[in-house]
Amino acid sequence: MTMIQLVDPTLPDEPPPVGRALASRRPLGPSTRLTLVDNGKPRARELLQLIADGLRVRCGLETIRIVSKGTASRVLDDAEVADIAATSDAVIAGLGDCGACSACSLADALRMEDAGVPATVLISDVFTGHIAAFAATMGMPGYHCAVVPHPVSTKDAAQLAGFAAAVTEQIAAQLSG
Amino acid sequence: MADLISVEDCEAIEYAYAQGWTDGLPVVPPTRDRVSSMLAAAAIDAEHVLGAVPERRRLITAGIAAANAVMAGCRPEYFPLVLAALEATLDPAFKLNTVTTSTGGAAICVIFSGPMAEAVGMNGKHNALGTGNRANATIGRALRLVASNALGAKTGRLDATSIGHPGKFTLCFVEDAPPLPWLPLRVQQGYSPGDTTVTVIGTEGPRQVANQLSERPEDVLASFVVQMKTASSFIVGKGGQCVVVLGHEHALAIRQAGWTQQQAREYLHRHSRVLPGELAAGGIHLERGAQHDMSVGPDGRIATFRSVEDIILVTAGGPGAGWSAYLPTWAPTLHSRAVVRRVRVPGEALPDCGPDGCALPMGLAGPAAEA
Repeated sequence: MTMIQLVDPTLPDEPPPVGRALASRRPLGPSTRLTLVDNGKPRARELLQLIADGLRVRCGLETIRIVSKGTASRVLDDAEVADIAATSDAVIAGLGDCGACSACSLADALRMEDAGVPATVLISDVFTGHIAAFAATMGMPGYHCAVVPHPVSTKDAAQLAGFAAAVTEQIAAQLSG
Repeated sequence: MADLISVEDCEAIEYAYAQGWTDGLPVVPPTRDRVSSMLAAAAIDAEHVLGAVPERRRLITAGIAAANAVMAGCRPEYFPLVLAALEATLDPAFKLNTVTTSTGGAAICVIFSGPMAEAVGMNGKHNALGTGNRANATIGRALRLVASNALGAKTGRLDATSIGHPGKFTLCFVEDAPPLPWLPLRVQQGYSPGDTTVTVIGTEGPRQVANQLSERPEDVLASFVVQMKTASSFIVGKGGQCVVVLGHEHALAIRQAGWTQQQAREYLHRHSRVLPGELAAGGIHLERGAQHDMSVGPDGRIATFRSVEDIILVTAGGPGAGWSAYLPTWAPTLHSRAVVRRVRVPGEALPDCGPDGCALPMGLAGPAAEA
C-alpha cells in the first residue's frame, strides 16, 4: 500500500463567519420609510409595488421609494447602500427569479442589514435552495426570504396581485422582527 | 500550500470523486510534487492572490489554481496560460459570480492568440473547438474546476444552471493565423505580434455555420447573420457579444474579395439588427420596463450587438469544406463582458491587479471583516 499526499484543491463552501447579524427591528407603521430595490427583472417592479401597496394598507406606510439597480447581476455599491440607509427604515430587494439575480438581491439585502436597515429578499420558489447556499456563503446562514411561485415574468396582473397578497404578511413579519 | 491529505495511491481518483472535486470526468490526483511543479513553471508563489470574487467571499490564490490545473490534466508549462486566463475571469467586468451561477449555464470560452500558446502545442487547426488536444482540453477544464472547487459553482450549491451544455467542461482553443494581410486577434486587440493574449468570454455552446456553395462575402456572412438573429438566443435585441470563428475556407473567401476583418465585423454588426416582428415570429416578446434596453432604432430594428467591438473575429479550423462556428454570449453585456489579458512570461514582474481585483470590497465581505 503506497500512500500519497494530496493538496486540497478546494475552498470551504462556507467561509469563516464574519459577524453578520440582522439589523434591529421595530414595528412597521406610518413613519416607516420603505425602499424597494428593483433589480430590473421582468415584472419585478410591478410585483414589488404591489407588495408595498399591501404593506401600506396593512401597516399604514406613507413613504415608499423605488431604487432601480439597472442590472440584476450586480450588488448595490457603497454609495447606493449609504444613500438607501440614510433614507430607509426597511428594504425589500428583488426579484430573484434566476441564478445571478437571486444571489445579487440576497447580497443587497445583507448589505442593508449590515448598514442597520431591516431587509428581506423576494425570490421565486425554485431558488430557495440556491439562496440558502449563498446566504451561508455570505456569512448569514438561514437568512429569511419571501417566496412567490415561479415563474413570475409570464403572469398577468391579477396573478401578480395574488402573489403579492400571499407574501405581504410574511414580509411585514420579516421586516419588523 | 493548502492542507495535505493522505490517501492510498490506487484510491486517489475515487477519493477525488468522493470529495466532489471532479467535473464528472476522472482527475489527476493533485500531489504535492505535481502542484509544486505547476507553480514553479510559472515562477509564482502558492499564496499569491490572483483576484477576488466578493459575492462569494473568496480569494483565489495561485496555489488553488495550481491544484486544479493538475487535476484538469495540465502540464506545468501550461500554467502561465492558465494563470492569465484565470486572472482575466477575475476582472470585475467579467462578473465571474454571474457567469458561474446563472441559470443560462455559460461556458467560460477561452481564446488564445500568440506564440506561447503555440509553443505548448495548443491546436487551432482541425478540431480546434473539439477533441484530441491536451492543452486545449485541460487549460479550459482547469478554469471550470477552479469555479467548482474554489467558488462553489456546483449543481445544488452556487451553480444554478438550468440546462447546461458540453462547453461547460472545457471550451478553449488558439487562433490559427488568418490569411494575410488580415491581423491576428492579439494585434486587433492592440498587442504586438510577439505577445500572447487570452480572451475570456461567457458563451453558449458553439453553433456550426455551414456554407459550401458560395464564396461571396455577403453570402458567407449572411450564414452567420441568420444565426445571430435567432430569436430565442437570449442576447438577440438585448446587446450581447459573440465570437465568430471563421474556418479557413470562409476567411479566404472574404479576404480574397478584398474585405478587411473590420469590414466583415461591420457587416455582421449592421445586418444582425433585428426587427421586432422577427422576434415575435420566434415567440419572443420585447422586454419593456425592465433591465434590458430593447428600444427600436430609426431603422425599425433593435441591436443584437451594440458595437462593432462586441464581435470578436478569429480564424481557426482545418482547411477543407466550408465550416465555421458562432458563439454568442449567454447573456447581454449588462451582465458580463469579454476580458483580454496578455500572458506573462514566467518570472516577469507581477502587475498590480487593479483597485478591486485583488481585495474583497469590504461591504460584501461583511461588517466584521470591515472592522
